[in-house]
Amino acid sequence: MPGLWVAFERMLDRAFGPAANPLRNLGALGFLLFWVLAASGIYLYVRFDTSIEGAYASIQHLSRAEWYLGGVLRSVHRYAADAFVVVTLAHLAREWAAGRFRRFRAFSWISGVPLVWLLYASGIVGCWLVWDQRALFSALATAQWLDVLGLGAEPMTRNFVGVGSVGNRLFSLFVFLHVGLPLALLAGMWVHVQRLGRPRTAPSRALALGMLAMLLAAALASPVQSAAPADPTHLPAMLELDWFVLFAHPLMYATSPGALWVLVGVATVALIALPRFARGAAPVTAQVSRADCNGCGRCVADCPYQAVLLGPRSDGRRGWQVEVLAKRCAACGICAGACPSSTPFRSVRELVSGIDLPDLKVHDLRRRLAQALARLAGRPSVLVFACAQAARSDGLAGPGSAVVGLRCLGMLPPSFVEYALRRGAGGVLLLGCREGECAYRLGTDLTVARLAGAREPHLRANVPRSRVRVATCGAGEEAQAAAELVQLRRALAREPDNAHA
Amino acid sequence: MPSGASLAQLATYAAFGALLVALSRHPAYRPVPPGDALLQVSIAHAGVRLRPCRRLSAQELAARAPNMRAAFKCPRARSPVRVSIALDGRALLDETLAPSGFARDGLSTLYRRIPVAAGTHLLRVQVDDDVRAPHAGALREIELRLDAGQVLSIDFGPQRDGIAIS
Repeated sequence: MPGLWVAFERMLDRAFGPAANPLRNLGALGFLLFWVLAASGIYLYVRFDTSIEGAYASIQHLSRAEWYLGGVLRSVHRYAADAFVVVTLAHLAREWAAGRFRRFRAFSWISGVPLVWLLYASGIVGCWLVWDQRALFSALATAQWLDVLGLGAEPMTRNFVGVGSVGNRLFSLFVFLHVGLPLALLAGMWVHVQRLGRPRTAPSRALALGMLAMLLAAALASPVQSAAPADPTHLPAMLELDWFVLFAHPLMYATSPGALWVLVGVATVALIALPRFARGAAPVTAQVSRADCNGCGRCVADCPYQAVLLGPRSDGRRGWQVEVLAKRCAACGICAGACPSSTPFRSVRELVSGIDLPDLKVHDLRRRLAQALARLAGRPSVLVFACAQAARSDGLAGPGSAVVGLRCLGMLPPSFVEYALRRGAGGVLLLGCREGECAYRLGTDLTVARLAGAREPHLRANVPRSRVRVATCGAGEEAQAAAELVQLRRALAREPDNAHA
Repeated sequence: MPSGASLAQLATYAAFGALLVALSRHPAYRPVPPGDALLQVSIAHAGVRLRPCRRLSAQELAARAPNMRAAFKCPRARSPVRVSIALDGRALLDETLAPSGFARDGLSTLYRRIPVAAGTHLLRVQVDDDVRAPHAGALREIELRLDAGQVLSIDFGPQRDGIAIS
């Protein structure tokens, strides 16, 4: 992700905290704004006169005579639609900049592209329902654009040219579209998150309240007003356009309808084709050892990309077994971290987990941990488990500390922490990605929950928490990671029984 | 006393809200250049058939299946429609519109927006729907006064008084 964007996100972290940082919750904000639009839209629809003669007057009545409710809700509806556009485009740009469109992310990426179309279609048709001069301008421009396709016996533009051309039946179609398109959008949003484990479809309460308050304040400070009633015989010298939604019309008149089709078509095809042309090397995906898997389903629950499925055993025995869908697997190892058989205390020469990464097995992890523990010297000694995606950890190794690298902090079974402490480490530092920046979405959160005993497999209660510290430092925050190590050392030195090595 | 973080949050929301309010109506857009009116040409008309219907001979009818024995055979292709518009003697538009459809038997359609200066003008509109007889179609000349922002629609329909200017 570009450094400037990362810096901006981290700046907002200081103000909002990662959980309520708008830039880290763009997808969840999109869902919130959809529900705001639905709720305000239902009220407006109830009060809306769906005839061509009555539509304008009913909206004017709401905006003026009932400004305190209908007018405010109308403005909230409009500003929420604009905010939805901003949030969606920012979400798209952020995921693209972070490279989250390859391989296991391709489904979410591709399924998101039609949502942009549906969002704009919903917004543009919504502008028409007011049936003012802006609405007529937009409807005519849209019809002119669609006429390039040559669909239908007569050009669509003829529905909007001349006095009396628009009838109640056509207007009813607009209303139907403004209900149907958002429903299709909602269905698309549901599909969009299907390949994510524990998708965040609701922002934190603080962020939701902040966004709602902002929309309300904008509605009160600058209420949305209609232009003059639609009049096919007159165009105003200046039109106040909603540029978030209607920018395509001036763009079309500055170029041509065909040019706009080419632009939109190329952009759509490029976005859909992006995962195909940016595949990169395929990771060595997780594999299941049938003999060691008891079908507990913890890996299924923890997989961030729905790559592990639970099904009946195929060997005829009763119970369940898991299966890894290679195309969806990110090879993060979170599943191995969730597996109850991934405990280093097992007295077997070859430690085999129920689910494991072939190129970074739990057995390898135990071997590397043993080597690191052997390197530890001095007091208080600290063993660092460091995520490869977080701040660089090479500077943390030194006298009294050793580092064991992980692909993701979530791949560490909590029992390894206890194992390290029992085998001589004075303390354990878990270095993960900065909150909200986890490369595999859930690694740090799951680890924290496991250590706190809120999620299986948990760190046993008898492990002294004062000797364990979780540091969340993103790329570039090496100094902070070093400071976390120093703080843990100091805390260990203060412990009354400083007998641990 | 609000903390620095609260103030930063407030500033962020205020900036976002200001962006929404500003770009939801500004900058204002000019649909036509200042002082101009707009000619809106919207025509959907089927040209005449290029070849007339022909009565099939008894021999031809007998060669057909019983359910296919229509008395006439009508070639479907239609003539392109030529639309010419001039304002004060200056050509604004001169286009020949091909019929739509694979068999070229559909409507010839046109939609154009033509900004023109407001004022009094002599408008001349000609629509020819038979390429075999150029300049024999409908013609209308009218002197009119156009106000700035006025939209003048030009349509054509032989069943609707020919060239309609409204």
